Amino acid sequence: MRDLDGLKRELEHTRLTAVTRRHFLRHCGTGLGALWLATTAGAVDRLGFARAPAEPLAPLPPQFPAKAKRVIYLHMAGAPSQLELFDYKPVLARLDGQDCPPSFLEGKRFAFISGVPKMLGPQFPFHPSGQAGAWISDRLPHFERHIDDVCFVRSMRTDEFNHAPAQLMLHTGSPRFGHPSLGSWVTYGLGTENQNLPGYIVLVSGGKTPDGGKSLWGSGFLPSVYQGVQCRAQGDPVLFLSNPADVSRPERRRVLDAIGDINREQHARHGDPETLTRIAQYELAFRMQVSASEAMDLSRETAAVHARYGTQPGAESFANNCLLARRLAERGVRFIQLYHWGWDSHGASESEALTTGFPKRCLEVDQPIGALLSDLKERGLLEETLVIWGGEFGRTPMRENRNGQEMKFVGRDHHPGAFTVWLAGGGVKPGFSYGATDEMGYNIVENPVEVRDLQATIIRLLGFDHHKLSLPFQGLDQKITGVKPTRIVREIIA
Amino acid sequence: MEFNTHIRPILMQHCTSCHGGVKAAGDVSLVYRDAVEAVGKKSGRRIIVPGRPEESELIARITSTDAERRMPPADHAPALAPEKVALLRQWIQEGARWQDHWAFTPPVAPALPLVAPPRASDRRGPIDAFVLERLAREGLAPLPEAPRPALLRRVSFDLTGLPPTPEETAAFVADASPSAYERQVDRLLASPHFGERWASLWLDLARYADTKGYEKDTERQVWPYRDWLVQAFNRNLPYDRFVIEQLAGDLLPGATLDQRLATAFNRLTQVNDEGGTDDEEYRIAAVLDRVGTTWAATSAVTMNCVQCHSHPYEPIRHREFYQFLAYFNASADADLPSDHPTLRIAEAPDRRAAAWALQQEIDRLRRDVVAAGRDAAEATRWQPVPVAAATATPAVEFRLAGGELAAAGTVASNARYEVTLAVPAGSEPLTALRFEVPPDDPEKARHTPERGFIVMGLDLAVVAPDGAATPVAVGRYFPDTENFTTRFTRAVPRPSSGPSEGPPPAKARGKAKQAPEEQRDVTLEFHFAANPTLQAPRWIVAALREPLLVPAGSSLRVTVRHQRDITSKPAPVRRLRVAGSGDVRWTALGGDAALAAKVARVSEAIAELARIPGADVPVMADLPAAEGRETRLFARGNFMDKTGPALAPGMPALFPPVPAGRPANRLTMAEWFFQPGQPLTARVAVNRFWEQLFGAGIVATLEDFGSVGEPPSHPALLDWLALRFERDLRWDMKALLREIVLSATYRREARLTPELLERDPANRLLARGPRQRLTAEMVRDQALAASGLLSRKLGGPPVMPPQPAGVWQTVYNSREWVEASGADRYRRAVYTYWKRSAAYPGFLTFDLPVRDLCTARRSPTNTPLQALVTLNDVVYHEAAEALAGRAGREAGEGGVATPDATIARAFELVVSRAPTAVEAARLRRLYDEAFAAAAALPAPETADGAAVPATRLAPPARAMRDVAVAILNLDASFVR
Repeated sequence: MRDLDGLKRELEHTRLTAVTRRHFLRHCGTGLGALWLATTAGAVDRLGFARAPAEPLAPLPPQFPAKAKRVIYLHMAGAPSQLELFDYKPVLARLDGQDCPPSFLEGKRFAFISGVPKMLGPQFPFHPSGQAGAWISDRLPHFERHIDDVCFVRSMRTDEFNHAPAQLMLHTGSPRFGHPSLGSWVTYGLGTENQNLPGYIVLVSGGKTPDGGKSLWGSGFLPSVYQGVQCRAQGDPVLFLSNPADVSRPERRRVLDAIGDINREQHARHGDPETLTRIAQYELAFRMQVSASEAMDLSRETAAVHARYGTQPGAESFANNCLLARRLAERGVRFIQLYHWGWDSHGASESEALTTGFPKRCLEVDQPIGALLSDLKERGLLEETLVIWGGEFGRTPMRENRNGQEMKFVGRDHHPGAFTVWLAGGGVKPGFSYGATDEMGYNIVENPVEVRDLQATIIRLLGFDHHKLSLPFQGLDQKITGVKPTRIVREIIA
Repeated sequence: MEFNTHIRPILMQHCTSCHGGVKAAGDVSLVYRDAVEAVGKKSGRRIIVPGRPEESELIARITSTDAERRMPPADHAPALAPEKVALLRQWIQEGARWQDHWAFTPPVAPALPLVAPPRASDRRGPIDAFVLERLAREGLAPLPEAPRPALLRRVSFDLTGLPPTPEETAAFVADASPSAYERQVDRLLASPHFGERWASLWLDLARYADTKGYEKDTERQVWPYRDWLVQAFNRNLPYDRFVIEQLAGDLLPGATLDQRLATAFNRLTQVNDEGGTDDEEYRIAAVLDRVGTTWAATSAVTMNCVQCHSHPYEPIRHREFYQFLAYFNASADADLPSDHPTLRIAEAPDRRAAAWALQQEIDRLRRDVVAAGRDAAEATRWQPVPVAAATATPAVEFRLAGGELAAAGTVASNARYEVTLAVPAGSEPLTALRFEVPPDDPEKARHTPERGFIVMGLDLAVVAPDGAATPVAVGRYFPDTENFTTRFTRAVPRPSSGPSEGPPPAKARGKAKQAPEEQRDVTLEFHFAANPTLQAPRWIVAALREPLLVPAGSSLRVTVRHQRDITSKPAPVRRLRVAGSGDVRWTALGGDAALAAKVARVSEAIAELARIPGADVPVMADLPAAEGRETRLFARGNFMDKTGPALAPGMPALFPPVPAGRPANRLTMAEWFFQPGQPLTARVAVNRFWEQLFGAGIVATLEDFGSVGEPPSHPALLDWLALRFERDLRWDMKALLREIVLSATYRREARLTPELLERDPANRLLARGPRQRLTAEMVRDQALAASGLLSRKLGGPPVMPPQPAGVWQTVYNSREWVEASGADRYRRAVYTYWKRSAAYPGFLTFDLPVRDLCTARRSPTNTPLQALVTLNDVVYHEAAEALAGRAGREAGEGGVATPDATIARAFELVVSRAPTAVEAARLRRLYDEAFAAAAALPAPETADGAAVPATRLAPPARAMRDVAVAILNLDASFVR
């Protein structure tokens, strides 16, 4: 009986999807609709993502029933060491200080390691935790309370070993500039639930923009309306959101009324539907001024909430951004991307060392992440919100020896061959671990997951076949996962 | 029955994803012409037997009832519909005549359609005939000509990117002569602002930015190239010269400064300065980009598809991509932070010639000196001088084999090698030593280079048995190349006018006098580097000042000094071999006064050049022949995995062949795009110009003329225009634009009747005139022009108008946005500083592409963020205030203007026509409401009870500013 109901629901869903898409394709002959029609003409078997020109972000149903409705992606820019947090390697501890075996070095490209480096054991104690007994170091006590809510993937790998290309690879599927980011693809495919807020919001902390810059949330060859909107701690939370200092809201309203009246008359004479779109967008902008300011205003939260997250309204901090992420998730924002800079623990300076800068960064993120997970769970949002944490690559089990010399501080070089990410909520298996590295944490020995596999899995959780979330450009049906064989990691889907 | 119309679409839809260029299942590909002759691997039968469908395996397979045999396989797709099978059958029956895709076949002059225009004014030239013919077939009637103010607004924006002034509009309206419109067009084509508008088109294709991209995204001074573009359009450089100079201007005989500058086009690729990156990887990325961009810009062919495999649906093979890449793989640039090679362009136009003369002199003298050494080195019989021993500080593990030195393991950045040479006993006195650094694997390095090296100095000494070292003087070092990738400098005393002898000045006398040195470029005196990569043995010859006889028992020692890194990693010599000679010519060369004078002059000329303020623009230049790279195919597009033989430059066989006897270089490649019979070059160009004027190309997919691009809406018109441009107009861009904007088709009214909205919402049939949204640049320029704030200064370094704080925030990059003051605050949009990783937000919002990659088409959007920009960005706020002020001044006749007159004037300044009665009344109502509200505001409290502070506008000014904001944000203000 249950199966039959499920089937019925799915059929109805498929029918609705088809009807809606066909409707948009047929009735949106101008503006964006026409553009996509033009570019997809002659194509077979593609999903249409056309919308009425006035509503480029109108929600569209996914291809399949989705497990996750939205994404909060916590990117630790600079690439935190998996060997100090989640990938426990007792053998590596025993080999600490010994020469690296030559097999690790042959045919490999490193950013800074040269010659024969020494192995470096974990810098912090580990212990098993939670019902599944997942090993974790002592640096993340708040996060650890949620260890049974998250799913670890310890067998991530990437092709890129420098920050900017690796970050671009992770977020746009290509190591070069110019491709749409995951958030752009997702808002292109799904639109967003709250038309008074941008559908794809980016929050940056750690004092620097990540190495890949704004291209990490760029829309590439998708229309620019799908690019991430960076919300800022200082100044306007969204660029140009506030009226100029000497313009009041009633004054602005009067101006908009006049613009609307004249535009309506203009439409009566010229008949261009774009005019109607413009009228609608001016009204939306007016509403957004209020709704975005309200959404971004942390002073509306209680003291208890601030204590829980460790937030201070007005500051640029990861804690503030985690609380904002929850507020935006509540308000129906589709894709919320956080970047926290400063994890590049080479050991070249105190702030970059595993023993000094790294634990500081852990402190900055631990409590807010714990608070975010608890808060989402309590509000019933975690089930439908996919939370992802990780860097752009991993770090070597060898100690970095820049210029072939022992360095003043302890650090590890970039390592594309293995790193850990975790996912929570949004349809992933809680309290689950997937994939494994060898005894040194250097090579993956079980269930490797490529960056494109992770992307395909995220897209599947949101209800799409990654092949179908595509746009023809430069002669190819472009998609974030590219042309190499890609695998949805079904094992981690609940 | 036509292959392109009836058959190709079936093959594309049902067959080529398995039997195409990427996958050719069973060795069957239906992309190439020879498919007709192909034999099936399994069946051994011919796929297609012309005239005999029943013997053709293709028909057998698509009609088979055997699930194992049927195509497409049941698990892929359902069987072909009977009518498609019938078409294929008929096509084979009729002889299976293959056709190349329309765009790969040269245009043929079409017959002019004979159509009777509804009104005489509907047909002004051949363009209109083609358009009317199609409209007649569709049963649509064209709209009449647009009212003059609307027409002048349209053509002013289209040709110059600026709105007409009310006076220009009035003059046009009043001009009763039959050539009134032509006169306006000619005026606009001659405007210096014409180039500023049309440069934008090419800046998108050229992926122009003022920064280098990737992580650090540091500044790159390429604005002289942008100015070159503006001037190229203004002086109406013919399109063939325009493209050839950008692709290969440096190789033209007697290349001028401008022609070399034009080649910056293909140096706008990104450079990765992030520490620890592989320079070869990013050099290759740039070369791949040049291939893709060149084909996209000239031919709208998606050549980048062929990087990893044969083209999935065009008949272009994988190997052909790399044959074409070989034209670009000879270039000297190598992802260096310096952007080498560069050309210095003086900022002041009147000093450009002087800077250019200096650079030519430097190049000539360098070539002379290097050639003197190279000729002598080639004529010398070198004798090996084996390495006997070597040590280093910090320590390095050396291996000595065959008299050669090899460094193993780790070498520190500042390593200093002490190498003892065993000069064979009884050899003649040494006049020269040659130091040579070979790659570890010389064969492989020719196509896959190794990490490079930088040697800071080679010091020679004779070491006596007791350890006492006597330096050996070198007359001159002769490098092996004039491609100086690495700059060497030395502190030299600053030329001083006062007495230079005497005690050093006391500390208290000021810092300036304590620095009597300047850094002089001494690269020509010593350059021993393979930076960033080593692809062939490199050498340097030390010509000794005097012949040297090493006494028995003594040894010759060379100290190899290192210091500099390459992308944050040590750059030591890893192999070294030494040879010596007693040839007397070296003694002469080492002491040659004429050479010494040339070397000194180069150093001086470089210093003179450095004193001319200007930009170092990256340009194209090819490596000296001896350093040429080998190009091989990258397996699956991976530059780390090369395969097959070395490939000579060449063109895909799909296109006309390169004329015999031409050198295999970039110039040949560039000129090839313009040889008669080229199917794409002219079509793609006229289509771009057409799209700029009409909002959609005749081929809507500007970026792809291939078999999945859209077919042309007016094929005969496209071919007519292409041939007209190429043959009659001889690539004259202004003449082409003139012809199009003079057509009745362009001049039509842009009204959407309900019928047209239903039948042709996107105006592909052109029954009405174009109604396009202003581009990002035009939105800004209109506000500034209408308000009177616009600076009309042409060219120069990019400017930084106000943008919100904190937009620029990039790791490892200290460059800051310094808000411009004065006229530079109000320059045209095209001069705004464009940073790839943090582009000017107001333009991004209005769809200016980031320009990381070649972009052929902007997608116009219509979003609330755009409203926020034009309502709240300080640029528009200032413009509104200025517009209100200007309108008030200009509307009043010698005195104060009435609000109505001011409103009308402001409206005309922006919208290029008088307001309708409804519009005027509604804006007047806004004025009155705003006035009342402003007047009702409580007086702001000030400490001393003085009047309103200056920052708050008085009620009339404030009300008129609100009106100006409304006018600048009207729908009518955003369209042209």
